[in-house]
Amino acid sequence: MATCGRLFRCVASAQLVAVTARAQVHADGRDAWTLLDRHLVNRQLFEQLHDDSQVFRLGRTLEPLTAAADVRIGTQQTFEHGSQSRFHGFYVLNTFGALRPFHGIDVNVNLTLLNPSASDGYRVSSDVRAGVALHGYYDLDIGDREPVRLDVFGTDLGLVTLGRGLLLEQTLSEGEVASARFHGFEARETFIGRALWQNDDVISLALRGLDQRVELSFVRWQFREETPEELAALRASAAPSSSLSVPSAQPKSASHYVGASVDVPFTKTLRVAVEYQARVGDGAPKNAVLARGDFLDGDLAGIGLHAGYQFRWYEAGFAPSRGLVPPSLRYNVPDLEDVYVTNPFEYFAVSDYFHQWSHTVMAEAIVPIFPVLKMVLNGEYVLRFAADRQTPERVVYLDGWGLFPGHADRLYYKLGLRVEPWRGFPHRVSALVTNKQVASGISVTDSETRRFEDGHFYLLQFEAFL
Amino acid sequence: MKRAPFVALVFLGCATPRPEEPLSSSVRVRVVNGANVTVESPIRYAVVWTTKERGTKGFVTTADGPIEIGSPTTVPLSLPEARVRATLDPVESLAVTPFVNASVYRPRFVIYGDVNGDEHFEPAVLGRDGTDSILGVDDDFQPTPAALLDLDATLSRLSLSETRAFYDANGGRYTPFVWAAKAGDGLFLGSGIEVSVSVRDSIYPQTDLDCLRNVHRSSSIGFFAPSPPPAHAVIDASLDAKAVCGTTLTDCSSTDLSTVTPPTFEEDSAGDTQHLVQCRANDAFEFLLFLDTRIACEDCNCSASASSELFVTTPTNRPAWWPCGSTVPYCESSLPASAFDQECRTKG
Repeated sequence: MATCGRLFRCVASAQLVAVTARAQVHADGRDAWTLLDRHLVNRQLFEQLHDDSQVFRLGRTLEPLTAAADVRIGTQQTFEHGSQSRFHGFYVLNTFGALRPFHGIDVNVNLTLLNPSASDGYRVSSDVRAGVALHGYYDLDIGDREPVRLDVFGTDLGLVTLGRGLLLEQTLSEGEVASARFHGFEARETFIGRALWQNDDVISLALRGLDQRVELSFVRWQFREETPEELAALRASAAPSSSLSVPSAQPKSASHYVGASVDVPFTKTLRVAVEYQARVGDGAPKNAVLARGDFLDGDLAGIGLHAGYQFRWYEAGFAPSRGLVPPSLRYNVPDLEDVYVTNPFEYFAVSDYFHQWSHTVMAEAIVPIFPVLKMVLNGEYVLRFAADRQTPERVVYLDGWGLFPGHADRLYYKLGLRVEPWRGFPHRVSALVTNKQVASGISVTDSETRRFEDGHFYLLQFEAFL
Repeated sequence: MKRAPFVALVFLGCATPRPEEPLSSSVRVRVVNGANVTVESPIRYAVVWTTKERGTKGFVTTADGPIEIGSPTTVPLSLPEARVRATLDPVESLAVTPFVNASVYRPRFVIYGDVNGDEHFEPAVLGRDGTDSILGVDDDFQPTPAALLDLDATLSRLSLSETRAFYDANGGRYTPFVWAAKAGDGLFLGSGIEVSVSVRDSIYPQTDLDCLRNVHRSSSIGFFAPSPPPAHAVIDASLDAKAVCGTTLTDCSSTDLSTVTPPTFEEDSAGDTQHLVQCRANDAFEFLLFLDTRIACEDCNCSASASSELFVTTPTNRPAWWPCGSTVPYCESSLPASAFDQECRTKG
């Protein structure tokens, strides 16, 4: 009986981490403190696949090549008379390949093939999206026992997080990152070509120390003038003009931020992180604060459990944008459902008018029922507030939240059962109910000012990890 | 900051006030007296919200105050209470954006003579039995303020960029009052500085108010209705009437003008019934033309009618009462003598 129980827990924990590549990836923008799925990153693929959690990968031992693929198909329906989201009869084949001709250069290619809707007809909406990350790394010998590790990679940065996520968090980006690491300290420069608005660039300089626990940062968030081609494309896609229409692009301008953050792991399972940023150089500083605590144990008596809390405060005017121009995303795929709703993206739209703060409780649990059957429970409860910085107050409607100033709360969930019939392999079939599905246009690259669809869905999915 | 309020602020969000009601607004109103109407009683303005409940017309006023002709006056704008808003008539559709229409009511800006001096608008229309005279009402030919009847619902349908433009246009105020302009059958967002209200001695403004903006106007209506061919021509006996009238003046008579009692020469152009006089002359004849126009309204249908009378003589046979050249100046015009020349009248 005891042996059976230990075996049960062993299998369960292996299964738990099977699809969560936890190898150390440089400049990893993914959230390390969550049980939501963490997807492969398009760099350091060799290191990721050599982690013990990836033993099932077919392409682990093909040096100087390596490859992996995550594929899923799924169908989604709605409860009552709601509308389906874009990805409602879909496949996504996310392939990763890397070539390492020698230690010092990796050529990484991520090819994503997808079709969001079988309802559109045979292959009508099939799409291929490619990302390339050329990663150069060099150990500079300066005579010390430890070299200075130099890295540069781009343009596919994957998920990017600045600091602990107060200013930019888990946002798919293209650009370049360059860094130098030495004795637990790191100086990192990041350039993002398009972060949250059509004509923005983000330049970040960060100095990290004490094994990444402390960071000082300077960020320049700039808006460049639109090129004539971009303006023409915007006009073509814009609604007919009305007396209330305004351009979606920001005027040429720049915002500067200075900040600091700490991330203190008290134990392997418990940590606290705090970040402060100030927008400077434009009158009085506009401040923002993030405080977060997490408990994460992947094998708590066989159960994977994460419980977290975060508080955010954004002073009115903190966001880099002026006016009520909402941020937008230009690549909207189901993988983004594994990013928390609580994200700077949700606060920046109305930052020009309102002070905002929020409390978020995050919780995930993966509970083995049988060796091949698990229960998955994900929840994120957000309670947010907004107060106008001027009197008399203005009233604004925020899509998905309602009228502000005031407060609103939402519970995002994903609950269901997951069957992993092939022992030792993470391939799985899932039946889930959720209200958190990615919002996507006809094309995944259509600009979206909402990250998630509003509705209640049930989902059947089959996933394989190769 | 003290700890307890800060904690309350952070956790309970008790410092997130939202206006319970939209804000009021104001507009400048200017009274124009182009018709030189003489007003005996004190002139006042009233912001009138017309209603209709179970077929019964009524109104409420949200502002009432003194006003002077020519000088703009700032008039407060505020919504009537919810019970009244539910019965407002007419409720119109305003195109806030090409894709968002909102129900609005355009309050009426009424200029009235406070006949009984009680500083309270009490007319004899809209179900009331008062004595105040309605001198003028705003019209559809200029943008005027309109009230969005459900501001929150309208804001809920606007994008953030459109919401920002809404606040940019109204000075950043959470107010339901916007400028609206009539174009065809539709209302569109407009811009304006002030509302001009012309005063006139006419039944039309009170009809417009009483008929809840639903007055059917005949195409000929106006305050300078084109003159039809004279209904009656009177030719001096010294002339050949048939030759003078020809085939255009079918109602033609001949008489000794010195024995005729003519219509009055005093012009009256201020009200719905107008009496106009014009003198014309050529080498052979002198013409005296009288034009009478009338605007009549009944059951929300207004129409104009006109008639004229033409007297013809020669410079040597002018009767003693002939006013041309003395009390009535000659008008130079290229129009036929039987056609009243409006331009000539305006210049004279």
